[in-house]
Amino acid sequence: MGEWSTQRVEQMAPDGAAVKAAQSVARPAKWRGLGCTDRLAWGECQGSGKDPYQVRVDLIDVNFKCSCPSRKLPCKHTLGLLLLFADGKSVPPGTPPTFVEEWSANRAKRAETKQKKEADPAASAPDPEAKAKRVEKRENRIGAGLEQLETWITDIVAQGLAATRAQPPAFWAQMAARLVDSQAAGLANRVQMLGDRALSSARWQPELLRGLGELQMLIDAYRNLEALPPALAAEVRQMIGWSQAQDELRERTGVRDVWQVIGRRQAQDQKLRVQYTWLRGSRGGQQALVLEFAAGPVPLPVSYTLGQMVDAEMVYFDGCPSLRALEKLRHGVEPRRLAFVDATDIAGMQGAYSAALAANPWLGKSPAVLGPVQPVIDAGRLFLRDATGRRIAVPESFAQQWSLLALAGADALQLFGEWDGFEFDPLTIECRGAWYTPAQIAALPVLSKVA
Amino acid sequence: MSAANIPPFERLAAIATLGTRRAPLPKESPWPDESLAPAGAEPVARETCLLRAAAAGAIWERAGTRAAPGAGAAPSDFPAHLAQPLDESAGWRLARILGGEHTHLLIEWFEAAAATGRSLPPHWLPMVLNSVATEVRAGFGSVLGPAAAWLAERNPRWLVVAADTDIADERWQEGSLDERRVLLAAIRKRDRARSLAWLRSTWETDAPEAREAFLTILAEEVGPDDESFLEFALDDKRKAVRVAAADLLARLPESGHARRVLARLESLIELEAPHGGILGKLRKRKLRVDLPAAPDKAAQRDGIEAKPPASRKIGERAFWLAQMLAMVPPAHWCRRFDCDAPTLLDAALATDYAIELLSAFTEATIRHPQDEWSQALARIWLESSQEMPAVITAIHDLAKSVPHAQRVVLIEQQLRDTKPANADYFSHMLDVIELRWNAAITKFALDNLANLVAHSKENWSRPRNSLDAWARRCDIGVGMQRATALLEKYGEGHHWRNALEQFNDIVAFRAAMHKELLK
Repeated sequence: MGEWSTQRVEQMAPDGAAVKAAQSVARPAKWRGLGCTDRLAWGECQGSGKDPYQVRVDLIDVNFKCSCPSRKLPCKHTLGLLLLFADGKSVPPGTPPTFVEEWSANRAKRAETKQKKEADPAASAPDPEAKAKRVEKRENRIGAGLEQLETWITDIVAQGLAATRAQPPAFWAQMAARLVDSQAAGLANRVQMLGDRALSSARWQPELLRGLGELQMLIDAYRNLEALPPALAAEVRQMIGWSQAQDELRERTGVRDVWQVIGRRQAQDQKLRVQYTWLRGSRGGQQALVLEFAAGPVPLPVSYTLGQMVDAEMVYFDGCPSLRALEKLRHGVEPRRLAFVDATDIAGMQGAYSAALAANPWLGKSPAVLGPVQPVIDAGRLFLRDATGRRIAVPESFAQQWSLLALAGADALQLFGEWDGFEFDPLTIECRGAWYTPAQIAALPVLSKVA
Repeated sequence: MSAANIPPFERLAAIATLGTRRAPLPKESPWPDESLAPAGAEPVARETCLLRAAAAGAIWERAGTRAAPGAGAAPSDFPAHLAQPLDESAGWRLARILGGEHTHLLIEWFEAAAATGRSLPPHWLPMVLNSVATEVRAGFGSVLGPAAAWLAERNPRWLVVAADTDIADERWQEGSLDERRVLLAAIRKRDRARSLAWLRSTWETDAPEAREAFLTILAEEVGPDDESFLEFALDDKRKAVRVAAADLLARLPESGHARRVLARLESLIELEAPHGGILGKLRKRKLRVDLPAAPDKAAQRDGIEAKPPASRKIGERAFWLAQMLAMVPPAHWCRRFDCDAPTLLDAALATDYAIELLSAFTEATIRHPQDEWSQALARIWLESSQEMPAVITAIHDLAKSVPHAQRVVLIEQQLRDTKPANADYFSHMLDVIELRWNAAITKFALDNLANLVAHSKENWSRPRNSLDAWARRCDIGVGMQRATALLEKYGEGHHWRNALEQFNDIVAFRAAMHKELLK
């Protein structure tokens, strides 16, 4: 259980205020009935209410429950309990009391029913005729939407990009709204993003033209969908806005492996917060991307922690390449491993990217484990340079440039990150046998050692 | 560059920017490679053709992008990694402080870190170099370690003065005021003659505020070798500079300035010789004080002002005397009259100018600190009938003038001798004096606090506001213990609860901080 350190607990907290609150709770005097087993830790914490809050944590799956009403998760009681556990003295081994037993048993039962339900094919078969009708209606709408979009972008090129840039944000928003009406939400997003970039980017000329070219390519591709290879056809359908039903997906046979969590990133997508988790199969070497979403004040789930080895069956969404996946069934969790295997040099990464780009010309960011590379600063910008002398740029938005340089010193690094064809954005850094991730404390960019 | 050499995508971007209504498509192929052009395609709109070719061009570029090779070999000169750096958790704590949590503890963090003799792991340094004031960093070079200087060489926004590298004169001549202050302080520690040469080399062109700032740095360890420069600064155009120079000269007992002041003062003061016999020893010796004539030009140049500030209730002539007296080391009088500090002070208090002399001797002791005098003066102030703010200011200034260890002794001594009636004075004093309390002072203060909490009925009182400062200064062990006891006694809803919790939080934060630094 040495894996739980104060720092790891602090990293789990949703923000700095939560850490502070948790520290004030992490005093043995505030607790009753503290205890733990190899898998579980629990205790009752006296809060402002009459009854103490019952807190329980699954230390292996990193799952928890507290009876307090907090909507900020993990709550301060959960974090407080983990802080006490991490100090190694305050939480003695014991037998779980009823409230912990019940919770743990319930979780096991739920996992089982879920598994059964998935194994049962005769769930609810929707009326195939009605479905076909709905699909046809939508296809017609999308077709009309594509016509409108093509006219619109043709007109932009005829009028000139300079004239378009002078248009107000509503110019883009209106076209996006029309595409939403045509049930092509994917296209709508692209148009909206293109508008944002046209107004904000310093390199708006080439970016705008590139984006418009991609839209034209997408229109052409959707009209010739039958001619495309199946994987690319599925990708194009998704880019237009067709989503893949997760229920259907779960019925497929997945890939079982012990998946290493190698990278995590959060992003704000309009109203949604999205958590990207990159996994790599330790046996098959396959990569998988799990997306988790949260809206409003609801916290993102804590299903994965960096370095965790998850023995699970993953099912992949259709795509080209096939990367996005769902966890279908978890068999267990093995001790964490904080080391990359099979890193590639820059030429290797670029070669693989070009091949993927040849298969999918809309390819955006692509994951890669890069190394050994040396960070170097040249004219105020950070580059990564491999043993052959080839080098690539790190985005200027990467706020931990200097920290990375200082971390490496004269040593080489291995990095997991996303390559978009121009820049490499590091998500996890391996240096002298330890892992680090870019983080922010208050507003300060730092590299945080994975503890 | 001929049109054919411009990458096709760029050419297309130029056309698209103007619009196909104005700019025609070029004659040559818009495709990045001829093999990509659709063979025998049906005719399409010019715009569609341009967009398709642009999409192909963009992919073409992206697939093969490679940064131009450039300088930047592996940094072989990076300082060797430290055998035992500070723990990661110490870096986290520092980041939290810099991020706005308990920012007052920054210096304590650095002092405790320096005491371990270890340095931060280098990847924390950019955060420190970006957010910690240059002067603080300069004082704690060992905590930053050699990697900081290496980084600063590569980032012009950061200034790090490494102990072992030379500082070029250009840096002194070209730096910002902030940097030059740090550089001057650094060079002064190594080569005082060079620091004075630097000052003289730019003095004429330096801005008045720069001249003023540099004199503050000389105050750190003013010595006889500074005298000629300071004499020269007495004729400065800016008054603040002249005042500062006179103040520094007054701290040099062997200086010409000190001799000139003493020459004007010596004849004005006389202590009666000790009386003979047993009874005579018990009789107090009388102090005779004559008031001086108005200061002449030379005296004014030496820093004696003619007009007292409006805020001071003092006669003009007494003011002239007090200023001179405040410049002379008090030990001089003990030597001249063969007496100890309490004797002379007792005699001074019996004159018509009791308070003026007390203030002047206090000022002199602040300038020339000496334990005997500090102790005696602090006692007199405490027992005097002066108003509380004046007493506290005097003791605060006396304490501030001596190094920390002596300051603790001074305060503890007063605390031991003080009468219970003065306890309130003390708790006020502890609010303002920057002091790391030892266990005894902490016990005294927190007993006082417990007493106050037990008897207070109001929702607001001054000591509650100063609890934050107490939490930052107190001895951690004693503080934790007392805070826990108080929190147990006064539960949720008690009107002191929030303040006590806040106190406890700060002390706990400090305890964790020190623990992490020793990990």
